[in-house]
Amino acid sequence: MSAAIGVAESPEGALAYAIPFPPEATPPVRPQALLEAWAAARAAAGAGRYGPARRFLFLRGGGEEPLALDLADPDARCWAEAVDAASPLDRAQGLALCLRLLALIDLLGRASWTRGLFVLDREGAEFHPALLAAAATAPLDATARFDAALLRERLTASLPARTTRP
Amino acid sequence: MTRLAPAVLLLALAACAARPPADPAEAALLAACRAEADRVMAARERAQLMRADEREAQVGALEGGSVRRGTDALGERFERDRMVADCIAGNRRAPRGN
Repeated sequence: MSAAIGVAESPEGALAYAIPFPPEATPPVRPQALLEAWAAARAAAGAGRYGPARRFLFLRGGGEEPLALDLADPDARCWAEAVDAASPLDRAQGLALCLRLLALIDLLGRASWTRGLFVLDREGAEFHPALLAAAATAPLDATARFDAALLRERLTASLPARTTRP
Repeated sequence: MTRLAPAVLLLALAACAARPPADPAEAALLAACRAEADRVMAARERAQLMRADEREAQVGALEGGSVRRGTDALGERFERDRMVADCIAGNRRAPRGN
């Protein structure tokens, strides 16, 4: 985990990150930091800020092929850029924040049971603290996503709690 | 009209490129609501197919089926869009202090 994350930039401005650990070894982050990353991504989207295309190459031991995760769509590029500005992605913590933020957004979009655990209004999103804590610390899978069933198990063990606003 | 087509296409492409990035919560909610609407529509379609199979087994193929299916497709698309919009509205809380 202590090995450095290498970054290379293409002539077109795209960034490639050589990450010396697999997605499953993504370190935990503080829930508050994840909340701040969410708020930063929201602010960047609201300001219409775009970011460069990014490719994360997760190096695996044992001669396995690296896993490539491409951030190509404008939303993911914007959100990653916002995290990078606050916590550089060439550091494990910044990268972990970015990956966990993207995994959380992905989870909210595909796991219907999360619906009661966050609400939206003009002031932003409000999360149940248990959801936030789980997203900040639960392991990512080999494709840098959350295992929805595992995360749900973690959540059910930690209720009830009050809500938190970015 | 044919001379205008490339310009219209360019405008459309420019509009795509200019789409502002989405708020993460809005993006997640839209994906969730679309998935939910798709699940409901798929379940409904399965039930309708089963009923249609039963009817056809009893009285044979119904005349005018293709026209009705076309109308149904439009209606289903409208219904799905309405479900997505209702879902998004239902998961938004009224702004506070206004």
